[in-house]
Amino acid sequence: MPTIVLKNVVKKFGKIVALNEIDLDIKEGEFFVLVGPTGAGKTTTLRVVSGLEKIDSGELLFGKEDATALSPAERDVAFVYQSFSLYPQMTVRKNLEFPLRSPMYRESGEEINSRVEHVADLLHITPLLDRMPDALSGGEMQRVGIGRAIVRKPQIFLMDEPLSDLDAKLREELRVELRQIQSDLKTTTLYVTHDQVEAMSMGDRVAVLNEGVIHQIGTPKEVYRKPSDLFVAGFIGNPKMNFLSCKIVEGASPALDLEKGLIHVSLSEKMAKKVRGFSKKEGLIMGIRPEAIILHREKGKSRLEAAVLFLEHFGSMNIINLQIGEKILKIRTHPTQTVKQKEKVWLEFEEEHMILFDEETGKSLAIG
Amino acid sequence: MYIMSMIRLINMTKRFGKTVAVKNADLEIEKGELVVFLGPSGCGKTTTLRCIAGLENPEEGEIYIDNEMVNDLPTLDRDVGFVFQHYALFPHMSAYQNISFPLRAMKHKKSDIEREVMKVAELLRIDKILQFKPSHLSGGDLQSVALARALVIKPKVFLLDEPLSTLDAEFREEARTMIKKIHLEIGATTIYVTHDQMEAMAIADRIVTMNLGEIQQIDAPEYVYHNPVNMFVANFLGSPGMNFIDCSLEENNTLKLGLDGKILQINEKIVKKIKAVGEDKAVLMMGIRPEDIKLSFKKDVYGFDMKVTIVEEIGPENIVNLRSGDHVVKVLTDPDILPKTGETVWAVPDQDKIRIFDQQTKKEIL
Amino acid sequence: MDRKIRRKRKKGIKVAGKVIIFIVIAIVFVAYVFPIFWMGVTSLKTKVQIFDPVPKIFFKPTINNYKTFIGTAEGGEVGAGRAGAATSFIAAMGRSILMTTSVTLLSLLLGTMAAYVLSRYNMPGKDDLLFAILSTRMLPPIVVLVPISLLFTNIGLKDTYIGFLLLYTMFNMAFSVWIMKSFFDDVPFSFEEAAMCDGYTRFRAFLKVVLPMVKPGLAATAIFCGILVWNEFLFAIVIGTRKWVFMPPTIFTMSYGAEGIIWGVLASSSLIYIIPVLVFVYLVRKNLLRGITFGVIRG
Repeated sequence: MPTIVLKNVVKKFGKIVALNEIDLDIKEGEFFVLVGPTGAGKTTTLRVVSGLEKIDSGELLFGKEDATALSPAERDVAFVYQSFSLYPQMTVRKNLEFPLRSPMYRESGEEINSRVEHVADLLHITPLLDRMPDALSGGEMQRVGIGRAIVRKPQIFLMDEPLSDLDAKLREELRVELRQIQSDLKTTTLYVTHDQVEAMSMGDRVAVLNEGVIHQIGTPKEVYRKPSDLFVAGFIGNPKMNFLSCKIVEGASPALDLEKGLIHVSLSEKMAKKVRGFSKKEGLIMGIRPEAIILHREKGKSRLEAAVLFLEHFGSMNIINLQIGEKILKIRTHPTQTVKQKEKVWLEFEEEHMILFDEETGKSLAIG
Repeated sequence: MYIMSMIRLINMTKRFGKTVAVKNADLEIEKGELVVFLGPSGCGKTTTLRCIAGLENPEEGEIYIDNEMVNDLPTLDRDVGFVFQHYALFPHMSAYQNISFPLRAMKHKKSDIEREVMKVAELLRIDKILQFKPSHLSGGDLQSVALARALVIKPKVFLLDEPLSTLDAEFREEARTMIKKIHLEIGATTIYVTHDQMEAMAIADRIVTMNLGEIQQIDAPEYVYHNPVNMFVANFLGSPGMNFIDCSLEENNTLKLGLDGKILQINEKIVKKIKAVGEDKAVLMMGIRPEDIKLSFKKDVYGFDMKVTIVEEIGPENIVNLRSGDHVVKVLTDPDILPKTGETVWAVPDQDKIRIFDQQTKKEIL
Repeated sequence: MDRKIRRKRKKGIKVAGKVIIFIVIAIVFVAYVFPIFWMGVTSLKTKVQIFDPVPKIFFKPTINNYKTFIGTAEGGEVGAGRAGAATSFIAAMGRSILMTTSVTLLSLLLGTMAAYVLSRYNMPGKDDLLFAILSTRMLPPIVVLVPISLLFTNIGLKDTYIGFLLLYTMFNMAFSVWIMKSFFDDVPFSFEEAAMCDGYTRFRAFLKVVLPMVKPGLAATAIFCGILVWNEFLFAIVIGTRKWVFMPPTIFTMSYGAEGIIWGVLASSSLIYIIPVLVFVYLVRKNLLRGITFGVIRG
């Protein structure tokens, strides 16, 4: 299994720059996820790797070999698509056999049979083998679609939102199965999704893209805890990270002034030290995850007053929506925590989870 | 007869050819309530909504809106606002023309129309984009315009068919909050259809869970979550849903699990419950929510051992997938609990949270 | 009580609706089928019976009309069938079948290839090209009749197989390209891409994956192209003067005698003439239904 390396890859469609100097280094056997909103360039990246699109400049290496001139078939990649999956005129079995019968692979009949049965077994689709695709449910179709990719034992799996057309429950189930299969086969996998939960849950590493630019590459935990900029911070996490405008008030003990003087949050000595090092003191944004805000029933120093807008019960947790000036703040609490509508509460921000961003550039300055 | 409800379905059945899309639906919705129809695709939730709107005609049963039987009334006369999944905005009209369309159809005065449109537009914060045509608007804005078009006629009932499903995940959360906020502000009776249980839990006053054309349960979100009537509801709500393990009661009042006959100690209460219904044979199913299981790294008689397969780190929590034979159990843990793949751990269910279901009927044993 | 009555009334309305739909279908059916039925009846009547002011329901059928144009009638109707009618009829039928088949196949082949390229590849001036192709059908054929006839005479294509093949294929191209393009547009490109990743060449992916998915389109195009050639009269009579005489002109000449139209012969030869088309349509009818609606094809 090769590594996949993209260096400075640029891809344009007419005047639109779909990929703007993309650098990626995907390791052998890695499950690598590209995540981002619609139009981020994630699918284009996938298609560039597959050879279905040619790059305009930059390098694409498989291992040490230059892959730019290779055809899709020569690259030995298998593609799993979002909605297309199967050839409608062929049975499930014929669909699975199709790659093995291609002029490039042309396996013996026996080999084809044993491989198809093996894959069918792996994906629990053995009873479906003789059905036509139109007699399958969405989940079954996508299983067969994945089977078609696996059956050929390719060097690389390329998956373009394979779960996004499925019901939420099925998605949850299949994402674990897919991850399991990949870790058994140890095939290098490039997986595209717009669903950040899917990205976090499946990826060994995650690249967050937006408008053709990679914003951050890291493990799911890194991307969640230490977002490199405002975009990543806002995109990863559900509910979203809360953002408050912020400036650093200097003095004997530095503090954070939030929402133009709404509250002064004093900092511990450790944080104060870090903050002193920042070159920029104004025009900042403080980001904090909903689970890093503590709800109090009493006033207190550095606690921000807020009014309860409404409460969302999710069973394993509650999300409390709070009104602060024009903004809505979300905090995540234990399911037993309840509040009444319009009730006044006071919020404490856990300073080790605060992240400061430069409002202009969006880049993280980081504290906590 | 005077009924206090805004919408009432009595024994409604809708068929498409031989398939029964909705079967004997009975439902009452109070004035000002936000009710969510929740279920997987093909469960009949959208069909029910369309029946209420008059876009489909049920074969049997009655539909009342505001105490008036509307079975034979066309959509036009039912006084409902409908928001379609794909917005159904007219592409050749600006946002303003789209929103004012129903008012113009009713031949309101021009000045009245303008006032009403501006009021809704401000409420939805789309007053700045009114002159644009749909092709120039983002997904979130399109959604707002579609909502505004339904809101502007001030219908008795507001019907939303998966209004957020075409939005990107990042906008969906925001739009959901907006819909809830607007509902709190204007208090219109609303029915909201979705297949996303998170969305349902977040905004509903009550959730109507449906499956295979039948209503399973009608209750407030937290109530449904903690007291599901059957296995379908228990698994459909929650992310991940409830875990199930087949089990039977042993002579010595322990549970023999379908995991290679592993034995689980259980407390008196559960034993009594099982015995009370006399179902002590092998037709039981234990249900336990992922967040109600603790992981122990050493043997625990109140737990059962399984192998760790995959740990999903999804930010504020981890989903630990455990396997034993064909059984998969999901456990929700704090983000700092990170067992290794292949490691054996003991899953210890919270005894008070264990639920027992009848394997045949799939219903809960109370 | 009230409810029950209303439900009953509703049921009544439903039944009434079905009856009305049935009646409408019946009327349409009769309107379309009656001429053919009448043609059949007429073909079995003698001249006297045909002109009977009050048509009889029961009559003694005769196959003399058929015998006449096939050329074996003895004595029979006067005026019909010039010398060598038999050879001219069977030969004309053969020529029509040959020409229709060749033109249909060629139109499908060229049309499909052109349509695939126009559907899948982007090129400058694509829209103009598509318009240009369509524009060949914008003039009534009669306008180009004289120029084409002169042109064909000058370059030696008049009254030849190749001449007709080119002419009719040209007529059909606009149709086959546009229809097939719309069918190709409905097949997601990812099907070919997947096949290419699986080790198939572009051309093989086209043959193995895409072509089977546009079968309804092929059937619809084949039928429309075939019928156009089969029924073409104008060019056939002007350009095909001696060697390449097709069925429509043959029927025309056979059924006009000294005393005007010989209805029996016209009816019987026309009836024979529509049989191949009926058989063909019957054979591909399954695909045709989906093809004619030009709807999205689904798996």
